[in-house]
Amino acid sequence: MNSHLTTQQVSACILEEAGADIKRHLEECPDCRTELQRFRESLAEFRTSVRECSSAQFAWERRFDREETGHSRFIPSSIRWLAAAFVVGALAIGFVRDDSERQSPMAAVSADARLLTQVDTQLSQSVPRPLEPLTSLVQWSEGAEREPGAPANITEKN
Amino acid sequence: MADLSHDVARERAEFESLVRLYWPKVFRFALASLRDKDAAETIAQDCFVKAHRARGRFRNECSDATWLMRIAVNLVRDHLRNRRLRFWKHTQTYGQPVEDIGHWIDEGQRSPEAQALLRERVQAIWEATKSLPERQRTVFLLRFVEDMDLLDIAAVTGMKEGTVKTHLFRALQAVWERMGSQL
Repeated sequence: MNSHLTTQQVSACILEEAGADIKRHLEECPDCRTELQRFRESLAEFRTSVRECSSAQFAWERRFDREETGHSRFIPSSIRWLAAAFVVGALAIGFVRDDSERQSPMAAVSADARLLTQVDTQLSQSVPRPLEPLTSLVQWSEGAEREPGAPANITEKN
Repeated sequence: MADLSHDVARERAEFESLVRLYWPKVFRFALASLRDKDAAETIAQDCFVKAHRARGRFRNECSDATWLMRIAVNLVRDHLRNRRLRFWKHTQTYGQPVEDIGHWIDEGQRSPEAQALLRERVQAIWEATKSLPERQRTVFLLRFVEDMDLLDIAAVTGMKEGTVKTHLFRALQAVWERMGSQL
């Protein structure tokens, strides 16, 4: 047998039904031997994992102990309805609060925009103190009614 | 009268010990087959209810384990085939699917790299069994999770031993091919 084991032959090995030729190949081929060993190990670990998972999912010993001590898992329907109503109420409050929180940033942005406009207006209309004497040398062509930020249309005083 | 009540108490105690002994096995098989904790609990409960009702007809022609697993296999099969019932059970019980099995491996003395590789391989087997046809998955789980031999699997599933072997071969081939480069 020159090539490696086929899928059928590997399955036969796992089920302990390998013929003499397969066993001979396994003795001679380290690759197939390693793969088969890994497959066996994986199947064994799969068993362990499913068992561990199942034990954790059910925790049957605790359940039986609880039933023996008389603690029932049954929850009256009235309590279930109360719990459901509480959850629905909590969700509704969450929605309302969420909406109000969404409005606050918008209001804050609006207030910021108003403040910036005021600052812009103030800055564009004011002249720095060191330059104040120069204002007497020029005059605004449209007086003080010029739009803030617009290019100043000034004429030189003679 | 006292003898009758004594017999009833004894029967009850015997059945309770049966439940304690085999509930984990039945639950495990149902969980691995359905991947749904709530459905698995329902199956296990139904299995023991059926067993309790039918215990008078049980002739001890097979072991308790084989008898109970036969009931469980039939219940799982019915559950899978009855899609409508499955839908409603999922809706009512908010089924909790078991998707990740790889992190349950026994870490042992392995290096972190070896653990990661093994976890991937175990997860690949778990994924592969999910896509197996029902009969192949059943015999695969009974063989490789419950450690049952071919004769016991035949007794539990009602198949002939040769049929069990064929399904097992096909299941193994599918799992091997699924694992592919991870080996």
